Amino acid sequence: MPSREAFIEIGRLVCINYGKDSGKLGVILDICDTMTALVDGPNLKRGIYNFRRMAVTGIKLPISKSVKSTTLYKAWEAADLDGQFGKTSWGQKLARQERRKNLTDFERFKVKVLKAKKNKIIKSKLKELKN
Amino acid sequence: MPKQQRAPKWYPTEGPATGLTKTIEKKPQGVAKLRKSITPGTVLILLAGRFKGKRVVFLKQLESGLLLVTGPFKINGVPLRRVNQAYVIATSTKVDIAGIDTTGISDKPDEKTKRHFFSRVVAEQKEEGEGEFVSTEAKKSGLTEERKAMQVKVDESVIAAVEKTPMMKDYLKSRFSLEKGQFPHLMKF
Repeated sequence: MPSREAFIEIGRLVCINYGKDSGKLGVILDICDTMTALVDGPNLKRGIYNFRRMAVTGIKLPISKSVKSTTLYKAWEAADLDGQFGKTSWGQKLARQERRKNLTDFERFKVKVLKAKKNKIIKSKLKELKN
Repeated sequence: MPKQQRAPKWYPTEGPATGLTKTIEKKPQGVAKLRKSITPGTVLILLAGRFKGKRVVFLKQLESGLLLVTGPFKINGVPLRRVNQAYVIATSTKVDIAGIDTTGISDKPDEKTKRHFFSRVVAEQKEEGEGEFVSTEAKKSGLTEERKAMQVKVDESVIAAVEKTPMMKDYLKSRFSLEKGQFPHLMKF
């Protein structure tokens, strides 16, 4: 049983996790058949996506079946879905991955040095506690 | 064929001038276009040669099209050096070298002496060495006093700018390398 109530239904926020749209959010507008649904989102092209290519979130929009894109985006903004999703640990994880992917060379260097410093402090404290 | 109009045995290699051929004058090639990402003060990663992997500061593009870079010398051992754009990765990190004077450094051979700032200096061989005794004090070829002085002068301002940003000096000291799971075509510089 899923730990949260997250069903494939109209208005359900999903995250595409395969293909060139990977990482993008969309809302299910209609169910086409047993494997596909009509999905649309501000960064996503309105179209038919396979359930296998999406991961269901716990967030839902109260919209009716097959609304127009403009109506959807208005409801999206009103509910602040990007913000809601960003607050979840999943959303934060995606944001962290995105940040790490876009580090510049200098930032990567700083991360490496600071991480080593942090680990050194932790190791020395651990040694202290063990003794 | 009638006897008077027999086909000639030999033909000239080129046909008669028809006046239809065009002689296109070859345009001078011009200096290599500088990549948009490379501006004065950009930190570059050298990809080949003695200093491969080193991160250096870009100063200006010389007349020949090559890039003038400096370590700075005191930080990572790279002197005022010329580098080809093709063997360089431009990072998005910039050092503020607004006031630096690099006008004394040029690639263009002087008309009279045919030499420029980076021309090789040939060692003056000492006249000693009679017979089998070779002089062990042959003068080392390489740096002129002019170059050393220019290095110090330019590096002074670059180092001052580098020290303004925290960790920038250590960054320039370190060498670039790829670790496991890092792919250059997926990395942002």
